[in-house]
Amino acid sequence: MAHPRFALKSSALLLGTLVLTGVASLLFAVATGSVPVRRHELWAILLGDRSAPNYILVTELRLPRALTAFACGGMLALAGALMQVLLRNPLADPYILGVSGGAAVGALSALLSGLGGLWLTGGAFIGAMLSMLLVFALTQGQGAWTPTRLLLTGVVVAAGWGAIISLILSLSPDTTLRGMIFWLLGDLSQASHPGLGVGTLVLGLLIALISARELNVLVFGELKARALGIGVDRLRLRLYVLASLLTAVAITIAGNIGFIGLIVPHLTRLVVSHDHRVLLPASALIGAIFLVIADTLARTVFSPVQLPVGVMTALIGVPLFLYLLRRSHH
Amino acid sequence: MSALLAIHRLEISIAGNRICRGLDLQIDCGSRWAVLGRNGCGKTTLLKTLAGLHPRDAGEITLSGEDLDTIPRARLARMLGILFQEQDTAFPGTVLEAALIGRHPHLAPWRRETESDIELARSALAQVGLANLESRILSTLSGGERQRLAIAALLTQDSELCLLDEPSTHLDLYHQIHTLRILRESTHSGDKALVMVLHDVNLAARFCDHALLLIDPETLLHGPTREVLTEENLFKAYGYPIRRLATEQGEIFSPAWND
Repeated sequence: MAHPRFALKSSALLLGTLVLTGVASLLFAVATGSVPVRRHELWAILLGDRSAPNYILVTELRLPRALTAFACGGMLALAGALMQVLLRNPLADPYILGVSGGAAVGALSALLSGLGGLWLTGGAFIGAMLSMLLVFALTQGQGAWTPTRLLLTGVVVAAGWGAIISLILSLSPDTTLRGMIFWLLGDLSQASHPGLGVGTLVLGLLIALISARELNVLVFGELKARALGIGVDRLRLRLYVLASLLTAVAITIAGNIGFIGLIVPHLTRLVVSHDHRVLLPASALIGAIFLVIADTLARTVFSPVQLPVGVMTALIGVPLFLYLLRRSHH
Repeated sequence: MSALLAIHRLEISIAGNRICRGLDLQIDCGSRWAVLGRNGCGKTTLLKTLAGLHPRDAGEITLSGEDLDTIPRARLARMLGILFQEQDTAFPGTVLEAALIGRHPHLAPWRRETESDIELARSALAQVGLANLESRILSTLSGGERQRLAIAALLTQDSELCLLDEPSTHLDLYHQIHTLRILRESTHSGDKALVMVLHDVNLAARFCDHALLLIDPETLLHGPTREVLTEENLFKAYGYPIRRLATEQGEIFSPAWND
């Protein structure tokens, strides 16, 4: 950061570039697949030409799926960035406090009972909310609400969910096991209604941005933040609820997609900015783009076999992140 | 001079240990107070109490005539700033950004820092001698540079009352004197006051006009520096003989060398 004014301009430019890249990634996702859609046909479809041969394919399958991937990637990256400030821990990700474990137990219980559809999503969401409240109540229980207490409580609750997940998997018949594994790895093939995800992402980002400058102060420590006039307890509670809700919605829609919430915020800090007013929207956009591309590759690389997108996020993310980490030390 | 901070029958404790009882004190605009006492006697806790960051057992504190407890946190942060003993720099950031967080209480949530905020931060950095390090990453700073940066952030906060917990720690001799001079100058306009925890009696005598000496919870001596910092009082406070020597540079405090 050479000059803050310059930084302001360059960050607006950067966010603009990311928005355009996001649109490009969506177009790429919509055009790519077992049936490629050519550019002029794609334009016609997007402009509403119902007579185009691939109209149904694009508007009812690929576009909803791409938008869902966009929203989930954004929500997970945003939730991860918030969790890392809340817990003051670089290893924090959206799942660290057990929200995903609770969601998985809810979802797998539905699958084990032979229920699908709304039961599956409802079970996942209820499980996630239950876990959020449980961790909150246990942390709140006695005295101070410190990041360390929250972290320990969340990690232990997450371990508890992990044991229940293993139990359910071991009790399940082979026929349902494959569906369960896919859910656990993250899967976007069922995506059909992107509205909820996109709406949650936009709303969550706006709420997070209101506190963005407070987060810049909070990273300097709780005491300093208090001394600079920040209601730290209320801010932490807001962060916890917001990050948990974003995670719960993302998981309910797309299952347990790993890795994005951990590495995208770090990647954004490394290459973009650590000012949360830029970091939060940039993380959300990079996470969104990342998941759209990963999902497109997951359904095309070994076509007609579709890989769980969670496998793809890690396969791309690990080397990319390690490369950037190494480069940043020079 | 008017009272900026008034303390009435203050009683505080930490972890069940009493730190002070029945303390009455008035800090006027334009004054500079030194707080002295042995390790663990509660200087930091006293400072945090004055900043509203530590609960008190009894007594009242008023800032500019208002009860400390009723002032909203954000407004309080515009009136009162505090320098902590330890500087926490776990997350990355630049020197200028760290200085700019002092402007946080002055800005509405949706507003960005303006040119004048940036100017204030830059001039504070220049005062503490960090002007050419403004784009350095915090983790690459030395201990003394970090301390001076924290002081620059406090100057950027531009509060009427500044509480400083050991402002001279980690600083070399030149920067100790230079930094305390800057702090002293900040009170010359007459609308600000300083309360500094210091371990160096000489710095206290040189840069402060008032002193608060914590001897035990029942005995807190306060008043003009010359009257409080006597050989007898200092012996009571530190349990070690300290000589007040007249030199051509004025009076100098030195521990008695009896080995």
